[in-house]
Amino acid sequence: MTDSSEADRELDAAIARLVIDAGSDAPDAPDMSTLTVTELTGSRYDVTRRRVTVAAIGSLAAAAAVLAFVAIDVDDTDTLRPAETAPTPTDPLPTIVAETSEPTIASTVAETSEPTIASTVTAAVPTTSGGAPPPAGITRPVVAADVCEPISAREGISQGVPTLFARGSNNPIPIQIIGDPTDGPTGAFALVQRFFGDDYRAIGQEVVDIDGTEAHVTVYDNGNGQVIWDLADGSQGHLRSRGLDRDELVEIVAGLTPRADTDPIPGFDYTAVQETTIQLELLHEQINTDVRGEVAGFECRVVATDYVYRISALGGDPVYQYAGVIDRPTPLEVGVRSSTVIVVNGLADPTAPTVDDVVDADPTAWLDLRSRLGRLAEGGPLVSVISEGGDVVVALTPIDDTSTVTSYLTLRLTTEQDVTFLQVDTTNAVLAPDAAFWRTEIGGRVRGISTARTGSVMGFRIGETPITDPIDVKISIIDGGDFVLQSTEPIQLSPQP
Amino acid sequence: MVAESLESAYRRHAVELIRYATVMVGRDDATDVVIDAIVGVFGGHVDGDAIVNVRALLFRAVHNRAVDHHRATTRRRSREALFEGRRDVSVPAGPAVDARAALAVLSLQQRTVVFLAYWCDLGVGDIAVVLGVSEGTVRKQLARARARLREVLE
Repeated sequence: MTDSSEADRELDAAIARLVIDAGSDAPDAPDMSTLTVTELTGSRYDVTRRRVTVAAIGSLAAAAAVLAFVAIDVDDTDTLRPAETAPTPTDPLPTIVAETSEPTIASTVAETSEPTIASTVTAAVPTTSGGAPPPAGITRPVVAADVCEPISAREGISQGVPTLFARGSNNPIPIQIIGDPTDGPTGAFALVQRFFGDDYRAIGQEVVDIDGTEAHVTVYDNGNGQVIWDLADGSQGHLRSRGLDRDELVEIVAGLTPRADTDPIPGFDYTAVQETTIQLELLHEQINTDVRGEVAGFECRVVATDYVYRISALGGDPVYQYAGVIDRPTPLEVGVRSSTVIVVNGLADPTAPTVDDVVDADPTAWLDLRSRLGRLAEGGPLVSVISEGGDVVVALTPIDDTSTVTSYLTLRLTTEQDVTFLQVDTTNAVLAPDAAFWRTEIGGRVRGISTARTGSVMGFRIGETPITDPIDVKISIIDGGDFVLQSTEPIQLSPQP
Repeated sequence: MVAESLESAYRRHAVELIRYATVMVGRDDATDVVIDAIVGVFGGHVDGDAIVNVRALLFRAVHNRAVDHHRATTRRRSREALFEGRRDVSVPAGPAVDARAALAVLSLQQRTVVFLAYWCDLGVGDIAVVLGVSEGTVRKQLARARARLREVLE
């Protein structure tokens, strides 16, 4: 801060002194290497937090490596899912279809072992046993306010997963799930990818020789694991896991035999080694570009502890669901409701919400929750990340107290001929009786005045693609005298690729 | 962005993050705020491809946790005042406590801007990047903060 006047310099010096003093008694920063050590001496409160922290930090393959996947959760928000896509409680138990072709036996597998073959295999989302119908799937997960006070919600949908676990490829990626057919995503499992034509250096905590192949094995503190190994044909196997230890990871890799690259799904055949301590199977496989999934997220706070919890409902293809389970530090709980996988995240505590607490929200309440986005700071704009094809829901609230009607607008970024447009969808808007015009401000300037009606989509040119700068938006309803009747809060859209 | 770089980024910025949290919420709660923020960053919904400035990500996370903490504390104190009456809580004196009391006249965002400007020695543009706001917003907040602190210090 360099101001010319003496008074300003004195003020700057005084403020600098204040800031220095204000932080002079700062405690030592939480250190990852010491957190585990201090567990035994910390309070239960501290231990819990530290464990979670260690797990979270240690899981950066889950936090960073799968972040591209997470982006689906955050960025690709969408409108409420049509009813016809909602899972039905009578979804039949998926079956495993064996292929009739000659199985490829892994070199380490005993001849007598039963090969598990599956080139066309379906998901292993278990149903409930007995005659009772399974509980319905969840698409708008919430819990009762007295259990956990709602903060916000988000929704995302993905068609095709270009970069599962933050590792993209110019070529299609076969993705396979090796897991327990009964436990499904609630148990231990591995996601195996095979990359072709990429130059990616295999790294890991430990190099293990598996039948002459160097496998780079990493086991994270949060129960996730990773193995990367180069194959003779120049391709590369990349395994990510949940709930498997080092030896189990090695056993799984030993049971993988690469398929021909002309195979429709050129991943691996899997034959569990006979002496393994776990018996997992190839449950599902898919090419990444075909993967479809949707996620609904709910964030809430337990009043008694002030702990914040995040609950995700993952629907769609099993690859999407299983990857979503790995995409967590250490889930408090993973459960299955019909075809929906529910994941609860947060600090372990007796007051924490559980999968059993999760219910489907009323659509109107859900819309309201989705409109509550992260607020950067008091007095600041609503800040929301938005990506091409994703959307953001914002509340359109009355300016005065004469109306209690709250309605919603949906904002989207679209690209046509290398130009990015902001679309404002008014389908869910309810207009004040005297509404005359929409007034749209972008970047602090009025960019449009149009007749107030609902059910339309307004479009505004933002600029040439890609757009990287934040977009400040405010949308109002005004009457014939230019008085504002309803308005959104100032919104700052942060475009993401 | 790879796992190791996020972890190393935290190690690199841990000291300034804990100091920042201390300025924002005080010594007693700073550690919890930082831990919660880190848990949120690594375990929450973060777009890895979007992390072009890890320092900004970490600062924003701590900032948001500090804001949450501030609100929760305010609500709790209100409840306590309502049901128990004002309690005599002795606060240890010292230059750090006095300085935080002086900075408490600022909004949380103003406090953040001041910290980044005067402790981290960031310019307006860099602060805007860290906070994800426009440079105009930073200038405005900084000007208001300086004006308010001028009143207090005089």
